[in-house]
Amino acid sequence: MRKMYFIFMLCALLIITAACGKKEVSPRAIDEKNDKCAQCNMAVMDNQFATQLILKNGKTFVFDDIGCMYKWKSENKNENIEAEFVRDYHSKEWVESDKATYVYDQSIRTPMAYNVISFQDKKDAEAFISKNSGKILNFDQLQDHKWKMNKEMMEKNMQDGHTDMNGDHSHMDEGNDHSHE
Amino acid sequence: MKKLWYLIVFLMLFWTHPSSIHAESTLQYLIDQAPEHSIVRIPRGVYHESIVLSKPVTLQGNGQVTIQSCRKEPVISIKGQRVSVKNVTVIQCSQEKNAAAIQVSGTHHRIEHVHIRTKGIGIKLEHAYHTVITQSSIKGEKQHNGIDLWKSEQNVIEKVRIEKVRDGIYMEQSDYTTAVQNLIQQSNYGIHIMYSDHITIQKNISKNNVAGAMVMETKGGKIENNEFIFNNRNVHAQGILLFDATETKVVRNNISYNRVGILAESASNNLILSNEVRGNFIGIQFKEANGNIVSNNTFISNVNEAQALSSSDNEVKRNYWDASLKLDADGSGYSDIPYKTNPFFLSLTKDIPEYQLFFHSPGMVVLQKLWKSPDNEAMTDDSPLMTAKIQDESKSSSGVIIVFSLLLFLGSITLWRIGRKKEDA
Repeated sequence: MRKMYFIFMLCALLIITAACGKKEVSPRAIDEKNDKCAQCNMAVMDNQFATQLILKNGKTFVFDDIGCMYKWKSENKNENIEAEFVRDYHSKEWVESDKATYVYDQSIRTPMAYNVISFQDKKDAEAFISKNSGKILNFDQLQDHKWKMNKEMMEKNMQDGHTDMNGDHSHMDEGNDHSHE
Repeated sequence: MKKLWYLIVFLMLFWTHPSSIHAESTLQYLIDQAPEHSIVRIPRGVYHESIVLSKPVTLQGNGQVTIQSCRKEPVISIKGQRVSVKNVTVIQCSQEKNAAAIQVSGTHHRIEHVHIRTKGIGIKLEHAYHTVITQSSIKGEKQHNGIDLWKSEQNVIEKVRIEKVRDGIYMEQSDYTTAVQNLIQQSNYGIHIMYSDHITIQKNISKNNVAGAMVMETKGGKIENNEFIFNNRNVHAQGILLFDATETKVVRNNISYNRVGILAESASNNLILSNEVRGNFIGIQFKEANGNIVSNNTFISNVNEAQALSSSDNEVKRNYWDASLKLDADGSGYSDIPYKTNPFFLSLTKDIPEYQLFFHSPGMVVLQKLWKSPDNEAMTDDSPLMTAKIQDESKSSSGVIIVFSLLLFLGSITLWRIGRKKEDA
């Protein structure tokens, strides 16, 4: 009987520890009225550009642009990050950042003009590129991405004597979302 | 039989009412037929169509003219050069994303006395240059921007009343934009500047918005004589935000009754001069802002006058702080006691915002006194002004005092004379 009791207790302990190990962190909803980007101070809209970062201490930060999240991470390297989420460009559902596929193109308009968008499925990202233009980045490649805002890039292009960005270069229809829409 | 005949004639007259016919078919036709540089006068009426103006003409409403469309296309598209639209009401009722009441590209256009009601964007400028929008109004449904500029330069927006939109005037990559004497209210951000340099924002009133002005990623701008007031409807509301703004002049503005008056973050080498900062929850707040000059401003009745965090090398001098201890031994007009702010409360509430509940609680006051912040994190005014520099109010109040003294003087003389007369009698 004592043996049974011991086994039962062991099982119970195992279940409890297993449950602890499987602690899932889920993203919270965006509150358009009160959420502001932890990096740039702009209101965070409940749209395809919103991102979210959860620290080990349970604290959540929301951002209006993937670029803002990466800039925040570079300035807060000591913070223990538990999870980070981006949005699927079409469905606007939360996606774990390491499972998403990213597209970068200078003509994609994002709230802070970092010009990177995210997709749950790689196929959707490829379809976007075939319809518009851009470069696919996976999560690892995104870590090496140079986060520059389009104005900086534009100035650089001008200095290098490249194309005039104020010319007829029209921005993409699909990426035609204004910063705050 | 005669009655029936009259009825038929009456019905025929009704059906051939000019505005209905013209509304359906002739407005674009009139424009297409008009020679360049001519004036197309539209008779009064309601016109259900979207029109395109692509040659230099003036479209002018005679009487009450309304042009209305519920299609995704702009109600009025302006292209090419020197198009003017005057005296019309434009209604865009499309729910489609990015639908605009008026869309402008090209150069030297003029929009005057145009009144817009829209479910989408009010006026969208894309690659538009030297366009003037004046004496007009835009009323939205809070979903889209009032005036939206994208890669457009040297445009002027003046005397426009904008309400219930997302951002009143939003400009992105639109250098040398000028906004003068506009009124923007009940919107998200009054004026929102992104990646646009050398902008001029003068004599505007931005009130009851989430933010009076969001000045972001800009260089070399002038923000003068504006009123950013009562922007306090949100926990993050502010009068003016300077984010990553450089070499921008913020001069003689009235920044009152907002949650935060002036918030400068990652902003450098800006001039913040002669502003009146009154009745805000926090008067001025610096975060990682360096090399700015804050001088001759008046800080009155702010719950928390100034906070600075990780901000150094800012020149803060000769401001009036109503809460500062003042002593002017040499009569210079400047206090000999420097005024030093303490960012303790800001650093505490940064990580746990709920601690704001303890603002000015006895325990917090003790902690704030115990916890001395390092000098490079505090905002210190070495020579605060002894008296506030509010010209208009001081003038009017001194005028009132003179009149009141005169009345008192005359009253006492009269009473004295009456008393003497009674004595003599």
